[in-house]
Amino acid sequence: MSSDQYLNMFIDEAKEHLQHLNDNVMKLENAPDNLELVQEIFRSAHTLKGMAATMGFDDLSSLTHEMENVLDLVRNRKIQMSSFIFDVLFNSLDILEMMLSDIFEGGTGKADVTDIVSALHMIVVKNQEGNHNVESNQETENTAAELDEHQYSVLKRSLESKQVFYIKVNIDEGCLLKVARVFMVTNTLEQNGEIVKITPSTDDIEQELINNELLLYYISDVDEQTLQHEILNISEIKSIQIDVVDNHFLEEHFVDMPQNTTENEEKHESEIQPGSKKQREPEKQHEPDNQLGSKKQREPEKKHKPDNQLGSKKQREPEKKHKPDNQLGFKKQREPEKKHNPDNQLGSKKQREPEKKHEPDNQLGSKKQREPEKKHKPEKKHKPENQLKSKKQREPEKKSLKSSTNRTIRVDIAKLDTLMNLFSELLIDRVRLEVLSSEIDRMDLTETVEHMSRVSGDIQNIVLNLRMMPVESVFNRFPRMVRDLAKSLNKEVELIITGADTELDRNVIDEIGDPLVHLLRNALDHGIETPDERIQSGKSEKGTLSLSAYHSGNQVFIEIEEDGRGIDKEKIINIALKKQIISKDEAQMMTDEQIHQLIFSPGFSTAEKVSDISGRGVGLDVVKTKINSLGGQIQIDSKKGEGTTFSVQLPLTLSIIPAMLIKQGEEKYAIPLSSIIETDILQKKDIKIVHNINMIEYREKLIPILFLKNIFDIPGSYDPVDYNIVILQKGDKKLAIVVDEFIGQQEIVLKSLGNYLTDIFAISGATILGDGQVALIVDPNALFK
Amino acid sequence: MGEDLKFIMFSLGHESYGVEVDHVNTIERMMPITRVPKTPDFVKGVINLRGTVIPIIDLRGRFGLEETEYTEQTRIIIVSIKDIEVGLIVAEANDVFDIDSASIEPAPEIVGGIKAKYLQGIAKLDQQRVLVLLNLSEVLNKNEIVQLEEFEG
Repeated sequence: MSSDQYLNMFIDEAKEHLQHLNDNVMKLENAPDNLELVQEIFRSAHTLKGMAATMGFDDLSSLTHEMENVLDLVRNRKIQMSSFIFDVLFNSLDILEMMLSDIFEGGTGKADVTDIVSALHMIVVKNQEGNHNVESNQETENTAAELDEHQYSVLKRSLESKQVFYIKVNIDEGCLLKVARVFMVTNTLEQNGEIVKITPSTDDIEQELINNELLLYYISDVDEQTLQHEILNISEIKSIQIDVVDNHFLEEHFVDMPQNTTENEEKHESEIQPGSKKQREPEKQHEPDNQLGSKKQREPEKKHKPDNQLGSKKQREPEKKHKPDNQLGFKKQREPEKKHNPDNQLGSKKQREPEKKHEPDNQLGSKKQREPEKKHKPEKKHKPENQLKSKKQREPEKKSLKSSTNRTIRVDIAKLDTLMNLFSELLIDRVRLEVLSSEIDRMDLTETVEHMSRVSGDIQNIVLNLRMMPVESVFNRFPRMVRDLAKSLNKEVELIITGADTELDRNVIDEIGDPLVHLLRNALDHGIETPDERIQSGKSEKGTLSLSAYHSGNQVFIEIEEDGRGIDKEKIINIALKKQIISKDEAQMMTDEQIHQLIFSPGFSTAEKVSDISGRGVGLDVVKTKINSLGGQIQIDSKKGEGTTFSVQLPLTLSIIPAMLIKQGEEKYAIPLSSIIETDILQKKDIKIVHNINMIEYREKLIPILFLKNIFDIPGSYDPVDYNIVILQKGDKKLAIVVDEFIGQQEIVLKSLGNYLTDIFAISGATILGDGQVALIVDPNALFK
Repeated sequence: MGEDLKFIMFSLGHESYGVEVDHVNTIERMMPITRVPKTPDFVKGVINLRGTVIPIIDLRGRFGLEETEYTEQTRIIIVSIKDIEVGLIVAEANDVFDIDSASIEPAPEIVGGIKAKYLQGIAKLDQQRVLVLLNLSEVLNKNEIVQLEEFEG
């Protein structure tokens, strides 16, 4: 009960910490020597661990604990960050994320962390022993079926209630990222059961020491066929063989191995880890000390450096407490976040400052003393004052910490919809009240109604904004993804994100993530070339991938632009012909844009070889379908050799936009302000006819002019001498439309016309005006051809 | 004996029609309708129903019958089927009837000018009166409105 109450808060905060971790580990990757960052990462991991432990998510906390151990070594300069450690850390973060989403979906957050924990553990152990050869592992296929005592007992117990399988998975020989495939296999299996033993060992997998075969002992209640089906669904899995294990089988393969090798101990331990956290806890607390000890002992032997250095090293180890007071004081200055005795700090500050400048220091000091006096009305006792002051010093830190942990609640969007609708009704009544009060003309009534109008205006803003979220929440996971991908593809890419604060409706945000992931992967895999290719074609080694979001009209545009090899039109046509997507005649008639759109056809792939990331021809058509289902569109602009831009155009299903209300005949329309450059008055005679098209001159250029009444077949014969015109723009194109009357600017609530009326020409939705009438919203983008 | 189904009875002129109560949200009096350009003629536009924008279609127009003037009795029946919510303009909405599903007979090719595919069947209320039951999912078939548009455009 009470934990339920805190669960949402936990998830939100944990997510934040994870994001923080991801960001910082990435930063660290660019600056591996930045110990401040390590500290930061350590702290986040630590907080996460504490939170998870409080909530009873043991796997989560035990994994973060292992991460902490590694990070502890790093920040104490016991080990250098290496790409292997980064990979393991990132993997850990991924698993943490998986656990979190499991918890979010009502699961228990359980996951098999054996692999990753042992990898993390190995880093620590390696450091402890100073021996890098520990991981050498001679396990071969022959021993793959063998079970040690622990595994044997686990399997034996499971046989009573569940099924045990011995699974042999063969990975395609051409597979580039076997580790990823192995992970996919284990992840899939873990959804339905438990992996007891895996060969090659998890360590070997981490080290990419895999041949094409994977052998597993697996407990599950799912039947063979389902398993087979699910595993074979993973791409690049060649075959799978599932044997049902019985007691007899187990006994045959049970080898009572004497556990004399360190390797075995390590493994054994790591396999029990998730379950028996409590047992391990004390042991771990000893670890750092031990390491410290052993390092200390070794240090003088290895490096014959003066003691001084050792001392300075110690200063950087914030958690060690057996240090001279001096150093303690010094350390605290450097790390204000740690709880500290303010007096001490004050003292040391005072001590240091006089060394530099005398007078300014005094001034500073006296100023400091005076400040709190001013703010807190004087109780002229000196000691309390001092305390007050030191408190003040600390307060800002506390606040910043608080504000960083966002305080949020989760609300069902349906509730927000209801709130919104109720509010719209209120709005209508408000307008009626305003009319009534002006008729009655009583001062106090008018004032009250005016006040109500103001308050309801504020409420309106809040209600509308509740549904809007910055796309940041989708974008912020991309840097990490792009980094991983680029690494696995051996490409160098810089990701530039702009407009992450562009706000979108929550519904759209939830849906847009996957298509964008796909497009980014596509850009990385097909668009950007390898560093060698890039140098050959005279580009910089590092590719640029930019992801930008912005509002235009009542649309949001998200663009993915890269400076890669561009789309080869001829190649596309050839493939499309070969796959009979188009005929030869059609091919000759097609425009560039149409050719580009071909890559969205189902089953289309230009990739010569199918890679792990994309190019299976099932991607882009799914992307297109998804975006279309959101009411959006996707466009491609590409120049061979220069790069490709995918432009995703999304409607704001529900949002508030500023618009110009206009009247044509008896009908009112809203035109989104973001598409309007200006409004103007035009004399009839200024209209020129060029190629049967009405044009006007606007800023020394001819632009087409349209009549709204013709566009929408609006009845009415009113034909004035001077035309009211609105100049619209889309990109660098402009056009003018003639309307009868401007009503004025207004913030309007975008509403959909429902599912019955879809794809209406040049109408993107409707809004409800103050008088309760519906006004249609013009989609200016549709007017440009 | 089949199960009892509840139907809202309404008229489009001389005949009585029925739609299943389950699909009916509310019945409203006529209210101002905002025309939506570039839609088939029978789509009268949209209304603001307590904050929700709902398309309105004239049922007579939908069936290709001549549309009639709206009167005091004209009603908008707000129906929803699957994820589509639409208001139907009818001449009059009268009553709720229980109909035994076993007594519903298949509709003949054409009833009062309405093609059989729009009809769920026909039920006898008593000796004189017959209720024509609408097949809403066919009446509100979106593909058809697209076709109509193309045909017109």
